[in-house]
Amino acid sequence: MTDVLDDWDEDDIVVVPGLPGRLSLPEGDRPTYPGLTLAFVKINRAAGLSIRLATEDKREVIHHAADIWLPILNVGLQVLAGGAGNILAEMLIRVFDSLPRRKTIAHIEWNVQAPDGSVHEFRYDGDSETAVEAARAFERSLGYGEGKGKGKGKGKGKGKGKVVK
Amino acid sequence: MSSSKGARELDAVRKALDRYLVGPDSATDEQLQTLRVRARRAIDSLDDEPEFDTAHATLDEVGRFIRSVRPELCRFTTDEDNFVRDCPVDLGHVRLGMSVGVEVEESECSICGEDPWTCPHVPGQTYDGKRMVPVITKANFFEVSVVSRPDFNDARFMSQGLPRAEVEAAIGRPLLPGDRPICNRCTTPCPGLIDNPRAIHG
Repeated sequence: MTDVLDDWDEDDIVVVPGLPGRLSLPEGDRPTYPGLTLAFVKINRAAGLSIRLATEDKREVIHHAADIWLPILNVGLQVLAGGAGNILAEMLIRVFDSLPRRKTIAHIEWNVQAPDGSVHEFRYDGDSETAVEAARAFERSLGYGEGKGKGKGKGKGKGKGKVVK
Repeated sequence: MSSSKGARELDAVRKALDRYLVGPDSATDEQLQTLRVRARRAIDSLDDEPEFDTAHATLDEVGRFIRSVRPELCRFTTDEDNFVRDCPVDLGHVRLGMSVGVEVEESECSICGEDPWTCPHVPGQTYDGKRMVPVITKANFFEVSVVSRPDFNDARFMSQGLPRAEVEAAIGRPLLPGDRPICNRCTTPCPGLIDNPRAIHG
């Protein structure tokens, strides 16, 4: 599994197996993705982003609470440089717009890798509306997206970014 | 008031209650029992919505009204030897529900019937007026969790065993053989909602 989690593309977004948080899973060790992965991948591919799954074998798991468990992503820093606006925040907006309004709590684990190998982690568990602002702030802290400089997430959500070397 | 299904249900409950308040005798037992069920359905549909507090107040009002004009409808229910808590007004205050964990084994696109991973249709988009959704055709239901916000807002507790001691505490006296007392819950101020925001998927 370590090899899969270390799967990075400089210019692509890689969806790696796993679910954010500590969710119950069915038996077996097949690569598992949250149920929203299909929509996340196809909606954002339709918007022109290059996204692939790390494994050909995939097992989708859905939990029927009014939460959003987004797929875990490994994103090359170059991806953020490749488009105008906020790539990560816009991915969230596209997916949230496709969901019923009641889906209020978002769970996110996204990783951005710089060319020097350092990994910047975006972890968020909280209100889906403030998740978008937290993602924008995370991108700004990396020097991309709207505005410059270090940003901080707002609202009730527990969003945080950190660098892992 | 918004036009959501829950808000429309709440609106209908309010109108019926206003009508019954003017002429309580005109309401049949069945109509009053239905009113309780609908008041619960309304609050269950309005989690996280602006009308939630109104739905809660209406649920309390419906309970108080029925208890005052038709107390016979508030007798504790029994299931053989045990008491059962199944009043919609009472259980509507339990803001917890069930969420199933599902492993998708097979699914198809609602537009073309093909594998939704490889077909050209995008979830959430409409094609000739039809919204694309992946349709699960084979699944493994591997667990059920109690959560504070179930995805299906009517996946709630419908009944619960009630210990005799709790019934005796509620009526303030020991139970007699064959006793089926009337519940006093709605004769006192609402004790509040039972919620646990930390009830999330394990």
